Amino acid sequence: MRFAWIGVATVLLFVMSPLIAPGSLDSGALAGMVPFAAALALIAVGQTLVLAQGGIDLSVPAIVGLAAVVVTKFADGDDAKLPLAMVLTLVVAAAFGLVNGLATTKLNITPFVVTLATNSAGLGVIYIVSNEFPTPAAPALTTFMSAQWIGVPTPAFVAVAVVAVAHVLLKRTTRGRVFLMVGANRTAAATMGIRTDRYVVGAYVLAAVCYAVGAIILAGWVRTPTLFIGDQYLLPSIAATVLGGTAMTGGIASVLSSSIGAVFLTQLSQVVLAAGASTAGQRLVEALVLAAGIAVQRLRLPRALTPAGRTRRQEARDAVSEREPREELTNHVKL
Amino acid sequence: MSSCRQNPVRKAAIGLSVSAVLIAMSACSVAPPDASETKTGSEQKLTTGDTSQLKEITDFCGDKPMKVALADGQGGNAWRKVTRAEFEDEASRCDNIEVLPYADGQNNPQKAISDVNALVAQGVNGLVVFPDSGPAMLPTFRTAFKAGVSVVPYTSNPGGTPGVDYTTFVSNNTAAEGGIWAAWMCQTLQPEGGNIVFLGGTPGNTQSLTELEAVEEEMASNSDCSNVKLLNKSGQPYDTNWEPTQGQKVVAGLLTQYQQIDGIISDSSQVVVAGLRAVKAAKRSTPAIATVDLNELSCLWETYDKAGDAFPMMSIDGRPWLVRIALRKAVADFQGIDNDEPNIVTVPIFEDTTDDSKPVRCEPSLPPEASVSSTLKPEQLQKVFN
Repeated sequence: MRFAWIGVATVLLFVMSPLIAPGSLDSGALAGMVPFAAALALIAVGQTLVLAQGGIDLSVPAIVGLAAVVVTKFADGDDAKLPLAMVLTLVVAAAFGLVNGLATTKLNITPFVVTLATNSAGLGVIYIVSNEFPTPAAPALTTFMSAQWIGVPTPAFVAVAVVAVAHVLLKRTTRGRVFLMVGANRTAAATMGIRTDRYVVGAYVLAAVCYAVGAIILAGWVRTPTLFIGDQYLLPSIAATVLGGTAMTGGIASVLSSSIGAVFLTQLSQVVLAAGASTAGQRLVEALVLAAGIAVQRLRLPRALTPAGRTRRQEARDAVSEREPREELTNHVKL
Repeated sequence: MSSCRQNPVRKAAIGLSVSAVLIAMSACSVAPPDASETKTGSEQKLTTGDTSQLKEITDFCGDKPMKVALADGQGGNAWRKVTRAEFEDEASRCDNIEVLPYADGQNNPQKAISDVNALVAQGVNGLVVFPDSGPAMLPTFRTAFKAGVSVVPYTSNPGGTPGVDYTTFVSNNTAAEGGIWAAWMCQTLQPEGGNIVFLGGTPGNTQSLTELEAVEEEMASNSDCSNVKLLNKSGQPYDTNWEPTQGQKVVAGLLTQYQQIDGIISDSSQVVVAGLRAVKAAKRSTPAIATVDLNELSCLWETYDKAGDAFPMMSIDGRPWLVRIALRKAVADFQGIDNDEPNIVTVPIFEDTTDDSKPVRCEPSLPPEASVSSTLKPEQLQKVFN
């Protein structure tokens, strides 16, 4: 139930969209919305991984901005240089994430402080790398991100592929389960002999890579990304993740739900805009929906309405069991 | 009792002493280079004119050695880089002028204020400032002005009184620009007319509100506009935050809301470029565009033109050269020479696809963010971006 409601809410939003703003489900309107949703979904996946470890990543603006600058600056409008520029972008982002992870684990500094500081440093690096002005993306990247396949914008396929891989790794592999276990209780995991630092550092590195892929989508879609394009993605990435049901205390997370949360937020924003709401109206509606979304997650449903008649207590027990090491997992863990 | 404990009176006394030292230190940082230069002024009336009334800086160089500086509230974009180069080029034409290091406030009001204070402490005589932080800069300007520095804010109005709080103010004629855009748009959409929208910047910003007011006034008084409908609610620009991605979302929303949009007026060409992407994604016909010159938009128009999809477009001059007037005003004031150039300058139309004498100017060798209307020579512009 924790992760399911966002799917229900998103379906409801899409059903209601034409009633609120006629034409908001037209192919043209969706074609304009999907690339932004795809980018936010990937950034939200990254934020989910960090939140799953009980952390928070405030360096999203710097990593997204830096990735967009690197992929455009180093390709320099030349398609031949694009593959190398993309690899470099992912490497730079991973290095950024590594710094976040190592500072959090080895120096034992609070993630909030670490990522706030690295965000500031990263914004400075953006100035240096970009020479203070943006560069257009290579034509091949723009063409690819603006294209459609079977009527669906290509960024959607990139996002779906990354989300699917991340979901399977997190929910269907032993490593993924251990990852969540470390996030739920790092001390207990360490007592069991799990090298918890590796998982925490890994979360920051993989998160940064996800941000970078999102930034590459944005760079191709908007063609000339502004230097600080990442500024707009910090709070939405956290909002999408929380709406998706991921616990900010760590251990309970779903990248699939977070990415659906990203689609929900993007479509909500687009529908409110298309309905002709003023800026004040847009902000109020979005805030109210966010508040309602989080409140719904906390609702106590009557026994009859819970899936298969499960009680709240049963759900809580299941959630706890997700946070506790399972016997079979320990067999796969290096001691 | 521990020696660390102090009674409240003693604590207060120490606090006051520390505060006094800090206040004294901060006062030192903005102390005049020469206390005898302290000046007071009377309110100055700002004059309006056009580019034909502009003069050469050599008329105002004078013979007193002086230090000048440019302080930006927010650097980090191509327009500011070109503006800085224009400033330095203009200053280089007077042998008695020394240019102090450029200051970038990085969109941080506290840093912008510190920058001005630091430049005053370095003995600047003529200070040109883009006060992105607005009225927050006013006390600092007042202190510097009273300390004998010729302070000329430009483009963004800091409030206060020219001649009393700072030397004078220089800007483009925002209201006139709104009228120019509306008149061109109405004429271009004849005889069928159509629906147009005005895209502004951040919610409630004065520039966009003034421009929209001028658009509405022009549309009310111009007979060409009788069959042209402005879709904005009165006095309400569509807010884009001057952010291309937000602009793209706003235009996508407008295209969903309205079946027909025939013209877009905006004070941000980057927003227009993003909006055109939304138009293309929605597979709608390209509207007429009235905006400010930008290399990216000009080059995009050429791409459309080559594909046989040219759309009507007009851009007014991006006026990166406005900083030169501000510098001339600062230099003239310090040298004691009268400067009768206009403070509020009506900028000319730069490109107009309906007028062969103002062709679209795409410069592929320059970054997309560059304003091609710069008065720098091509080789100087290249140097700015390399």
